[in-house]
This record gives sequence, structure tokens and C-alpha cells, in this order.
Amino acid sequence: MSEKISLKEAERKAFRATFLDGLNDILWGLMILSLVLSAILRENIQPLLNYLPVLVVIVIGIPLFFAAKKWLVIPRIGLVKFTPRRTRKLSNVRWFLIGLFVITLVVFLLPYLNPGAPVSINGPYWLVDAFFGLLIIALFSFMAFSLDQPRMHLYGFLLGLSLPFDVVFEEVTGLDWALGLFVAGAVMLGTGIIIFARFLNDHPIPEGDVYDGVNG
Amino acid sequence: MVSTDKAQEELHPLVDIDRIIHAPARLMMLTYLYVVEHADFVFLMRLTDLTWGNLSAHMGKLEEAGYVEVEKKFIGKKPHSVAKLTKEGRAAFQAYKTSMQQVLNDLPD
Repeated sequence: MSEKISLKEAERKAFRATFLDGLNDILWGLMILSLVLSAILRENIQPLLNYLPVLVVIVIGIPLFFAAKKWLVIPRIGLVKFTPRRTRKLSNVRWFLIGLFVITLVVFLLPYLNPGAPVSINGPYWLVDAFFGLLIIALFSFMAFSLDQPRMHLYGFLLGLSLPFDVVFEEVTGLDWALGLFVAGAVMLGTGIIIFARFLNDHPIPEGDVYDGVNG
Repeated sequence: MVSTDKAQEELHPLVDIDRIIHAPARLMMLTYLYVVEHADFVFLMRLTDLTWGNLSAHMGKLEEAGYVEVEKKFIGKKPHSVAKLTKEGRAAFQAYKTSMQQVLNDLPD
């Protein structure tokens, strides 16, 4: 009994336990890879239609994510309600991500909605992508800190560096492969699958929840 | 040489320590329940690494002491038990934490 009782560490451990399954990583990886596919399809099909892979991931992937959480993860890890302080942190992250998603959607769609709109940026493209790359690194670092998920730092760096890398790669080789983005997405998806498989193996569903109480 | 009286004086708070909380398994359970609003048995089992039988037995003692309340419900056809600290339990845990930290802080290196 020589260790002090660290309530902060206990709370962090409890919170981290809810992210053991790897499903978030899988969903992120699929989203990124669908963007890569969209970029490749851009050359061959009509604008906006090339975003079909992204739509498929959103329409099918997200419901599957929640179904897997409900039927596979929660029976193995249990249910917990955190204090308002921790719930507020999660809520702030969610709203931040939703806001960023809306802004990104508008920025992407604006040229299609109004081709004459003055949204062109003068200067080397890699600089613009480097700026967005830094934003992504900052965003993922924020999530890593808020959600206590250190591997988000790695994802942030992979994604953030992929943007300027892909521009430079295209200028040097002439190939528009979104290679950097593909690597980032593949790492996230692969990591998520390994973590999920390990989670299912390490956390069998307990036999039952029959608590008979004080007199049982 | 430390006098016996002084040593006993420093350790005296331990004599009055809450033995319901002081058992390692129950201390772990209460620590996790203290930092959340409520948690079900599966969650507590995963965090504490206790077996189902152990968890149930210790939860029974905590419920008997009035430190924890357990709500039993069903999710579909599956029974589901959710535990949370009572006001008395929260106060008792805070008092235990303060006593232990005081005792440990006062001990010489």
C-alpha cells in the first residue's frame, strides 16, 4: 500500500478502455482510402460522381461501425457513464470535428457549385497542401490529447505529411497516385484491424450478468 | 531509535481505517466507481481483472455497507447490473483517501 491512489490515472484508464477495440481506426482508414479512390476516379468519371466511394463509406460504414460497437464491443467491454467533465471534453471534440467536416465539405464543393467563384490560390501547390497538412497534424494532436489516444499523433503526421508529399511526388514523377494518402489510410486500416482482432481474442463475452445482491 | 510511542502515534490512523474499503479488490472497485457516474459489472470486471464471482462477492459487501447501489435491469432478455457509488460511499472513499495520504505523507523516508 505504498502507492498513492491516483484517481486521475484511474479515470484515464477507464476512458482509454472504451477505445480498445480499434473500430475508430478502421473507420478512419476506410474514409481515407475512399478519398484516395475518389482522387483516382476523378480523371475517369464526372465530377462529384467520383465521390461515390466516400458516400458508400458514410452510408454503409458508419452504421456498421455503430452496429459493431453495440453487438461486438459493448458485450465484451461493458457500459460506463463518465462524469460531466469527461463527457464535456468528448462533446467539444465532436463539435469541433463536425465543424471542420462542414468547412471541408464547403471548400471541396464550392468550385463545383460555382465555377466562377474566386477560390483559386496563387503560389506553389505544395505550400498550400503543407498548410493544410499542418492543420491536420494539429487537429489529430488535439484529438490525441482530448481522447487520450497517443496513436492519433502518428496518424496526424502520416496524413499531414501525405498532402505535400503527394503534390511533390506528382510534380517529380507525373503520377497522380495519392501515394502518401494511401499509405496513411492503409496504416490506419491495418492498425485498426489488428487491434480489433486482438480485442475480440482477448475479451471473450462474459458468461452472464446475474448478480444476486447482498443476500445472493 | 524511534520511540515506540511516536511510531504508534504515526500508525494510529491505520487502526481506524475503513476495512470495507481497505481490501485491495474493493479499493480497486471503489476507485473506478469514484471516477465515473456509473458502470456495469462487465466494465468493472475488465478494469479490475477480478473474476465474476469475486466481483459479485465484493460488490455484495459494498452494497451491504451502503457504499454502492446496484440497479438490476434487462437489456433484451439479458440481465444487466449497473453499480454506482452512494453519497455515503463517496464520502467514505474521500475520507479513506485523505487518511491514507496523511499516514503515508507523515511517515519518515
